[in-house]
Amino acid sequence: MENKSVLKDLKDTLTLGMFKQNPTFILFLGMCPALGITTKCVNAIGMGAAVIFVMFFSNIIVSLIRHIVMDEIRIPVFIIIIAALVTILEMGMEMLTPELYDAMKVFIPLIVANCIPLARCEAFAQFNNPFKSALDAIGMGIGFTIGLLCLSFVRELLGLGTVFGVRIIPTAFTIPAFSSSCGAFLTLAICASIAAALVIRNRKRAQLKEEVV
Amino acid sequence: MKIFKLTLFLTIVCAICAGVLYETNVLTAPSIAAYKEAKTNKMLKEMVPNATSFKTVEVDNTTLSAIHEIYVGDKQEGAVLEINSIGFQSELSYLVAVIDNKFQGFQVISQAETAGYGTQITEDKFKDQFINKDINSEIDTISGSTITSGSVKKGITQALKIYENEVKENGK
Repeated sequence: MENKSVLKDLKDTLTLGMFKQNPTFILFLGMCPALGITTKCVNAIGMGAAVIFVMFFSNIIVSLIRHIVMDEIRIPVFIIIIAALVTILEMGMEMLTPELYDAMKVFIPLIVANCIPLARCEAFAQFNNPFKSALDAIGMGIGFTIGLLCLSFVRELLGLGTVFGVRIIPTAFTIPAFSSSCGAFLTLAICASIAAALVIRNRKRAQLKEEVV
Repeated sequence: MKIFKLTLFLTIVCAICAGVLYETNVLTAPSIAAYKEAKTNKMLKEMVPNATSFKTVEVDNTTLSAIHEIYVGDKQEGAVLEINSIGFQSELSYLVAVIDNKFQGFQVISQAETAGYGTQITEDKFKDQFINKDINSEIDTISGSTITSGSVKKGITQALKIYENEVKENGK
């Protein structure tokens, strides 16, 4: 019985960031990359993977040192750890995947300013064990990737007429505005309102259930 | 006394991070440099297929960063200029081949401009105008990409001036 509840707890930790607290649409964290890089689906995957990498290690490190970090300086310590990880990622990507790095090099340093890793260190990793923190990082990272993919799917389809580089709409019928920043804001607003509608619907359903019971 | 403890802790954290970063840099820097050089060399070869070798001269200038002199056998025939300029939202870096006062090719090394607009400078439609074109004639810009293509035009004009001065000085 206890085993089951532990498992459920772990599962909740993992899925929390994917849907219930999706960083892009519910928490509104990491808006800068969500608006900036979502012109192509490939960028979304690359950025998502980069953020998962950074968060995975930053959460684990912060969780490991949670008992020795003094409360007054926790934020500078977290941000130094995140910045160091981002720089390592930058160098590593430039060495291992130069083509992907060329496409994303403007956005990689922005992960430091992206509030998701810092927010998860602050809200989760500094109170939980490394294993749970790692799960939280993966969940949140996947949630962020899902958010980016939704945005970039719409923007790439309407703006460039392609999905993952495969042409679906002829160039003549595309809406180039979706590739620029105003398209990003529009898409984000529409996706966020759909997410909000879903949240409200679920809440109402839960209420109805309670009333019936 | 607390402030010393805090300072010490933060210093230690910074020192550890700096050490790790140093190690990563030592590990990755050689292959990054090799990749960049290989990429530029490949582009040079594509632009001037009949060249047998290139001699690279670094230039201390923000616009013109290097002159790759073209050698066919032992004879020098023109050069490829490596130019940097600021585009709409990123730094542009590109190569222009100049042989006998004519443009003989244009290649973009790196850019991160708006997809569909600024990125048109990497398309053949823009690049093809640099084949067999007098260096004093007007470079066509792209409508919808005024700032990016304008920056390329300005960069090339400036770089040519610097290059010509350099050639004159060396000629004396």
